[in-house]
Amino acid sequence: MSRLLELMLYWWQIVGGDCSQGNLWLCREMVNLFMDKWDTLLDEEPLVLTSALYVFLWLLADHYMIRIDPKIEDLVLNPSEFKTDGFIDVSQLYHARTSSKYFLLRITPAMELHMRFLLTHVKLGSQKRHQMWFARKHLSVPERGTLIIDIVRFICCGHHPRNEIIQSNIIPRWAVIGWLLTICRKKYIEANVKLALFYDWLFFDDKVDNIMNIEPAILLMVNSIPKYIDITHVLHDFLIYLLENYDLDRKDSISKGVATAIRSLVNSGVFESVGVLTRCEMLTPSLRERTERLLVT
Amino acid sequence: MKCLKDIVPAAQNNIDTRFIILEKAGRVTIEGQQKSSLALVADETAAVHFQLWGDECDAFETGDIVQLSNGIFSFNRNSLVLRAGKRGKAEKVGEFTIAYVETPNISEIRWVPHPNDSKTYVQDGVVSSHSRIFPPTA
Repeated sequence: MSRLLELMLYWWQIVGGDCSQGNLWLCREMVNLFMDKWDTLLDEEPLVLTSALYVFLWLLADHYMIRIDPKIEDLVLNPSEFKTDGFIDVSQLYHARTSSKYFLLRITPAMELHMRFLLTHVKLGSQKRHQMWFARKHLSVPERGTLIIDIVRFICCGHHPRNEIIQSNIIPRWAVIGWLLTICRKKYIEANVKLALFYDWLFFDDKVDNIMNIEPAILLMVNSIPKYIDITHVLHDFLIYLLENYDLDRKDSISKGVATAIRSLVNSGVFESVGVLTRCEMLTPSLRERTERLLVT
Repeated sequence: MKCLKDIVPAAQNNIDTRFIILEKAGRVTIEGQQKSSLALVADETAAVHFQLWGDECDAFETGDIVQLSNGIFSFNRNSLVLRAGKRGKAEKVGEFTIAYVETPNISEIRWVPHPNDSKTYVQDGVVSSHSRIFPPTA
């Protein structure tokens, strides 16, 4: 069955934005295979099924505008509809850690190799050509634009550099993410990239979650002051927007997650204090004030 | 296999090395029956100008890692270039995964004959720290 996973990986590589007969045939065969073996897979290899679901949902999102199925709404509004023991609220899903296996389903082996090389060998200041080559090879097909979202999740949660790298002059993760933000060609992709960057803030629990997952976002904000203040502003604004709009019924839980994230970042010395943001006069007063209010609660 | 910083001009096809292609010149000249153009290539230690010849002009693109066997580093119309030449071979062996430096550029070094051995060359000074044909962009 692990062969099957491999197959899917390779299959994804050729399917991105490719509607040729060969690819459509492959898609059909894969779906048939999953339908035929559904019960066996469910019992023996559930990870294969969830992986396939992940890949197919992305495929749909890449090629069609999805109408939200009532079932997906039920996930948030009527969790009991799913009749799954112990599943009472969607926040349980929010807090569940995503296995890095899922990001790697969309990130091809070559893409992973090249991204890890960039983040472990290329020096800050001489990254331009490698970034250009990465984009030319992996992101030039428009349908692959959504891959940037997976890449950012991969960088935050799937690539945690050793201390020697962090202290060296190798390009840091936040700088690569800053670059990825600038090459998003569509607004909805850019919004999702920002969500990918902050996602682990929203439900951060300092007892179980890794600070390395939330570190790139704060460093990108702080290090963009003052030269790239627009990036700081856009990210800060987006974070506040998420707090107020991501899930209206669970605002308190999300505020708590973000406040815990910020405190953990300060306590572990990733950045000095939240004053870097709240006292930064280049940011709008309302944004600074809302950040202060968040930390009081 | 040699690092680029260790190559020395010589009238021999004796250089085995590997590098990544950083830039290709837009200008292609015709020498005899064949196309020819210049590329800026580099490894972890140095950069150098590499002369692409014939099919190589189109076969290689920037970001490609090239293995050069029996290459030659010599003067070609007053400029120093590395090339495969008639006896050498250049082939793509990978892409992306070389971190490089752009200085020193071995083609931009002034070489003089060795005082005791006129067949070999020694470095006499730096003409330019970076390539003047492919100037670094800000």
